Amino acid sequence: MPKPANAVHNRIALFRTERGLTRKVLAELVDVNPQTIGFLERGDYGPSVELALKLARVFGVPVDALFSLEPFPALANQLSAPPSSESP
Amino acid sequence: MLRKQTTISTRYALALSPTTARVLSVVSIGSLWGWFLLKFFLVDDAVGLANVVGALALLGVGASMILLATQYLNQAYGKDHEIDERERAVRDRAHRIALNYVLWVFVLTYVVLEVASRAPAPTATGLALNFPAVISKGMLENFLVVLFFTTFSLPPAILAWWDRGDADTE
Repeated sequence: MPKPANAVHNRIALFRTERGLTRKVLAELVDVNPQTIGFLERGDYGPSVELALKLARVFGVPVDALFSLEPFPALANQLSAPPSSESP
Repeated sequence: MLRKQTTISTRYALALSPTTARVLSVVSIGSLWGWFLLKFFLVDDAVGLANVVGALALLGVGASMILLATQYLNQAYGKDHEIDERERAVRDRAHRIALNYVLWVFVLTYVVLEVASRAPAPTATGLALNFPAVISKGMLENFLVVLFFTTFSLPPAILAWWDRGDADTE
């Protein structure tokens, strides 16, 4: 299937790997087909608000930590960036 | 509303691999249209060839029936609450393509009928095409059989072609 032009970017694969979950287990937790998790991770499918909220609840993070309209910066860049002067 | 699909995908269905289902879809649609179109080229004394062409119809219908017994039928024609939101979106696209297919078949059939009615007689052109001047009841029945089975099996066939198999489930 063609990739949608206005794809929603996400960190599902990152959080799923960090939690040690398989796609099948995550799919059961949010009540979808395991293939749907794969489509989400590749950005081939943009989820509904309901599914996005369910995924965020499973990972215990806000929705905007998991999904974004803009591409997420690479994790390596974030880790190597100097700490912000505004942070306490 | 979300609903996991794992319960429906194999319920009362043949769990064929995507590759097998794709082959069935090609055999089904190809055989049925091949049967319908090749009949126009048959001459009365070609009994052996007529049997081969007739076998194409059986092959096409059989392949359609098998395809319609697979898990893709459940996804293509199942109830909304039995599949998840992505599968519903994919199913809707498959049905839109099937609708376009039917519309194009109607348009092309109309064009062929118009062109055939204005073309010179086959004897004058030397062509072996036996296109009748009047559409018979049998020809219309054949057309409806082809249209019915190909249209009914097209959404499951499209879903089989879009299926990524088990690669996503690990």
